[in-house]
Amino acid sequence: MNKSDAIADNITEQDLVERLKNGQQWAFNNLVKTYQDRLLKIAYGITLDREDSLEVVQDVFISVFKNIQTFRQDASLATWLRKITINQCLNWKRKWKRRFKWSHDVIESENDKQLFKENKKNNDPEMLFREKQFEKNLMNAIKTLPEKIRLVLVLNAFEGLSYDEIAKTLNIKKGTVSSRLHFARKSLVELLEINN
Amino acid sequence: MKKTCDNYAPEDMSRFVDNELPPNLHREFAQHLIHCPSCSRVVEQYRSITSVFSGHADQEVLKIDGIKLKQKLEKSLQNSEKTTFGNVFGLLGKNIYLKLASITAILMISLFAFQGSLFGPSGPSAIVKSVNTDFTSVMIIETQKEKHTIIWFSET
Repeated sequence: MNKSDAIADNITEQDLVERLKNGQQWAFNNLVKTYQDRLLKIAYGITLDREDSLEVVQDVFISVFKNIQTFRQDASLATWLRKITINQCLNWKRKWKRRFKWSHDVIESENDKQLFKENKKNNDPEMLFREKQFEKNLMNAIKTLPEKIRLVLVLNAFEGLSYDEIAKTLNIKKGTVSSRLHFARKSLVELLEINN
Repeated sequence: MKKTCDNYAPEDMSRFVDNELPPNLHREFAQHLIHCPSCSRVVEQYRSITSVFSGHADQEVLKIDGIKLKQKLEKSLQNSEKTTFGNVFGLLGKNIYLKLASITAILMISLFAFQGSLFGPSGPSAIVKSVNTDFTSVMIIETQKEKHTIIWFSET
């Protein structure tokens, strides 16, 4: 999340935090309104499940409201929320790991190589179909990535964080961020090309 | 001299996409891409992955139902209060007689277990009737098993 995070209803982050600490329901609604889209996206990137990500983010907001007194404000509220979301997602996944396995659809053969080049808005029905197919194949490939690799990709692709910021968030080295991102991309390209 | 693909580390393409290369290397690699269709294609693939993955997530995420979330929050807060109340006042809860009986039982068991050390010897474990000595003396004796201390004093 960027420094330019705009909080709904034009109040400052400091003000929002103070109001949350006073237990104001209005502040809670404002918090949800401001951050839900970003947190839901991060959660979806990690869980790869719409319902799970919704549950996770709801729990994040409840946890934040209950524990706001512990927020020391040495980082931004957005950073704190992001970290809680990541932890909540990882715990969620661990919780369900034994019961849940990804269902792998058969990746249909499509010209993904070409689609890499032509990934632009196009109204041609055939092109739209191929784009959808590429998206489906990509998502199937992303499901096969190890969680720690996908997590780095999510923070890079969704949040636009620098390698330094990702390293700090996940408590890993900058070089590890670089190698994990490269591994993710290389693996995805290989998987997509295999199915071409 | 123009560099070939082999002059770049495999990770450099990924770092280029993320603007994580040093500025001079970034410029150099950008120049290389103009003349290298192979690297150019890989860079394009990497960019597509980011944009398609992000676009897919944008479409997939649901919206939080404010009313349901409020209900969930209230329930969670009530549970927290109950837990705190339970922790602090648990001993004086509903089954007060049962709890008092349990505490009494625990105390009784403890008393029996520590019978000796709490109340001292239940009876003399050793009786010293006489000691032959020619001078005033004090004897301190500790029994072997129960570790009771006996102080004996003789005055001639």
